[in-house]
This record gives sequence, C-alpha cells and structure tokens, in this order.
Amino acid sequence: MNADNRYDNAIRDYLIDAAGSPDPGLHARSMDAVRSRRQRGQWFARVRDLVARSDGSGSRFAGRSGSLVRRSNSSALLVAVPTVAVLGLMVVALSPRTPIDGSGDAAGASIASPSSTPSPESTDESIAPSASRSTSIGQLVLERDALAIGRTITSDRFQPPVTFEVTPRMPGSPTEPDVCTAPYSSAGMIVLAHPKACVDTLRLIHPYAIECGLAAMPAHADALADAILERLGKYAVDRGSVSDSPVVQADLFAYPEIGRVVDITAGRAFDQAARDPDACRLLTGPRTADPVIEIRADIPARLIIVDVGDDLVVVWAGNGPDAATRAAALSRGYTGDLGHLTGLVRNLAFS
Amino acid sequence: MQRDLVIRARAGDVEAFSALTVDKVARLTGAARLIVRRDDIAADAVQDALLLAWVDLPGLRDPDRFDAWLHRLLVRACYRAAKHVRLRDVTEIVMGGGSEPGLPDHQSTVAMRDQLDRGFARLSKDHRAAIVLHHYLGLSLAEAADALGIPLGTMQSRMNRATRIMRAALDADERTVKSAREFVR
Repeated sequence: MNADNRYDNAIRDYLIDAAGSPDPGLHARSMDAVRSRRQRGQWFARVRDLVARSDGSGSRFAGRSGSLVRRSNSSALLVAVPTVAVLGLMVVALSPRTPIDGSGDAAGASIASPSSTPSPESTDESIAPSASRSTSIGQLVLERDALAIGRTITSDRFQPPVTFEVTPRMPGSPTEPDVCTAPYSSAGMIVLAHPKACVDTLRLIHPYAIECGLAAMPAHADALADAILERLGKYAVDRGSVSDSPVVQADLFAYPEIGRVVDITAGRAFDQAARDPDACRLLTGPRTADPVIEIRADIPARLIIVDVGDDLVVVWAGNGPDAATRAAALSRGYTGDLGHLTGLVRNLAFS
Repeated sequence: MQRDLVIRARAGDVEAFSALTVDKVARLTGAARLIVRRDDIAADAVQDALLLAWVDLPGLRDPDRFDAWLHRLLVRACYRAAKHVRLRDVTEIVMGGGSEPGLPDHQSTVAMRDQLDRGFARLSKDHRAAIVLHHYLGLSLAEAADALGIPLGTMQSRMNRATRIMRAALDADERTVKSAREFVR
C-alpha cells in the first residue's frame, strides 16, 4: 500500500468514526414536516397552465413539463421582471468598492497612507500610529501588561481569530516580554515591535487585497509566494514550505500550518521617495489606520505566508520605515536579525 | 427501483418519498455532522434538506440525478445552518468505551484521531464539504463538484488543499513520535 492510499484510508476511517451513529428518530421527524407541506410544483404547474391558456398557447408546453422552450409574451414577462431586478442588484454588487473615507480610488491604488512604509513611528514609547492617523474605528491598542509570559494572547478585532504567546526578553529577564510597549491591533493587523528602538516589527497581516500581479483572488500562499519571487527576482529567496523551512522556529505555530516562506534580502539601497517600486503590496481595508505593506527589495523582510481556511495571513518580520529611523535603530545596536523577530511570539494558532 | 420512487414522489406520493429517503438519512446525517461539527445543527440541516427536497421535487427533471441533487441540498442546508453556529461554540465529544486505556495501540489510535480531528477542524466548511462528499459519501470528484455546484477544477483544488492539511496533521503526529523516541534515547 503506497503512502497516498494509507493517508486516504486513515482519513476515510476517521470520517466514518467521527460521523457517529445514526439518529433513529430523525427520518420520522422529517417525514412529519414533509407531510405538512405541499410540493412547490403543484401551484407552479397551475400558474403555468393558466398563463398557457390565457394566450391560447397551451399546446406549446404539452409534454414539456421541465423546460419552457418557447415562452409566450405573458410568461416571458413573468421571467423578465425578476430578471431585470436581479441584474440591477448585480450591477450594484459589482460596483467598485470605494473606501468610505474617500481616500482610495476604485482599484484601491491609494488606499490608506501614501507613505506605505510598513512601520510606525520610531520612539521608545509606542509603536501605535500617531494620533492623526488613529481613529476609533477598527482599532484596538492592547495593554502591555496583558503581554505576560505564558499567557495566551488574542485580539478581539483581528480576523481570523488568533491566539499566541510572547517570548521572554533575552537574556536575563525571563519575566519581561521581548516586545515594545503598546502593541497595536486592528481587524487586519497585529503589530509587535522589538524593544530595540521599537523600529523592527513582527506583524500578523490579514490583507484586505493584494496587488502583486496575481492571476486570481482569493490568493493562496503558494500563489502569493510565487508572485513575490517573480516580482522581486534576485532580491527574494524562497525558504520553502512553512512545515519544512529551516528559518521557521519549531514552536512558532501551535499546529501544523500550510504555507510558504519568502525572505526579502537587503539587495537594493533604500529609496525613501519610491512608492511601491516593485509593484507588490498588501492592501489594508478602508476605515482602518493600518499602513499599506509594500513588499520591496530595499526593505529586508521575512514573510511567512499561511493559508488559514480560505483566508491568507502573512506573518511579516521586517525592518523600520525609513533611513533615518533605521539609522537610529542601528546606533542603538540594532542587529537586523529577522529570525529573532519571528521569535517574539510562539504557539500561534488560528481558529 | 429508486427511479420509480422518485417519479412517484415527484407526483406527490409522500410514502414513496419516505421509502426513497429512509435509507439515506443515516449517511446524510453523518455527512452533515462532519460539515457543521454539531449534532443538533446537523439534524436540523438534514431535516431542512429533506423538506426542501420534497417541496422542490417536481422541479427535478432527471429522476436519476436525485442523489446528486439531494447532496447539493444537504450541503446548502449545512452552510445555512453553519452561519448560526458561533465561532467559539464548544464542540462536545462523546467519550466512548473500547479498549483499555494505556495500551500502545489504543494510545496511538487516539493520538492519530486527535491529530486528524485537529486537522479536520482547521478546514473551512467548503473544504470540509469537499472531503466529506468524496471520502465519506464516496462520490467521485466530478459528482462531488456537481453536488457542490462548483467546477471540477475548483473541486480538485479544494480536495488538494484539504488533503494537504489533513496529511500535515498526520505528519506532525509522526514527527512528534519520532522526536519523543529520540529524546528517550
């Protein structure tokens, strides 16, 4: 028996076991409900016959109980009215979504801040967005006291629901978490910053949309990883699948996850004026203060891209937002170790 | 035989509909439980599917497609029912009897089931439905795609991802056992 059959048999056995035993009274209860209801076709057939008789074309439907091939004018009207209504609803539903705050165009090209740099201000006090960017909508600043070692942490805003633990600051302070003050969370992003200058961040990102040359949405982890590798060329490195990648620590996820890991190397000098130079970015939703995350060859980053059901979540570890802040970080002994950043949390679990 | 029952039920014969569905309820219930992961919600979904099948049966043109059509109704009923299940609802598990706890075979079986259960719980309802229709109800990929109302390619993609997640759960179990053995040495 080959491995495929072994897996399939194990899954089949599990399903049979998990399906449980039959409910002996269910059929009888269902039939009680059935006996109290008339079949739809009886009145539909009567209406159809009435329509057919009214325009003298009853013979057209003789022997065609299931398909109305040649519709009379009146029966066509019965079909046309709801069809027009449905088409009208479809037009409304397919209209481009414009952010409510009016900051974006139909394609979402300018959603959120034009400075699409992926990190907030560089202060030792806070990594939360500045007051001018903060709104009361879709945003929650977690209390730092809640980030105790060994405590399971979640955000009541971020979707999909996620839990994790923070790791102790190393070395010498086993009770202090290795994250900066005032972590930030919203429906689409959780931001934890490293205490050294609070510049380098670990982010959990649930993109509202992705602009990276993907053929289809919603994107899968493999598709996004391939798109990044194609867009950034030699500046992006495929680190393999999440389950096998040597750069993903064993306790990062509580359960096995499906996904890919891509590293962006510091291959190009940082260009502060450039906007989305590699045409690849993760867009955040309207009515949020989250920054757009540009995936660009002049900002080193590690992206652990995970498929969570039909959703996609990116665990993004990366450097600070601009040259000045990066220099400040470097002057304080910044090491730029992306692996250390992903080690700020452990036992990530999505539900 | 089934075709005759479908034709009679389509004409309004309730007893024919009862005879047609009595042997299918157990499998439908099992499939619904797997998709929505709640016994009470699954029973509601099966009842809804059967009631809708009865009401809409005159619209079924081909009596030979009754099973595929009923599966589609069931999946839709499960999806509707699942909307009412809160994210954080607790899934009750029934602790059955069986072999003596502590025996290696029992432990490994329980561990494997636990891993598969975790993997299965992590699937979206779309992926659960795909894997249940194919592996539990025994439909071919084309039949399952038809029942779900999706293209065959989408069905293959869902099966591929669902199987990968389930296999990842099993592989994790094997890795845990291996690492435990290495630790003992």
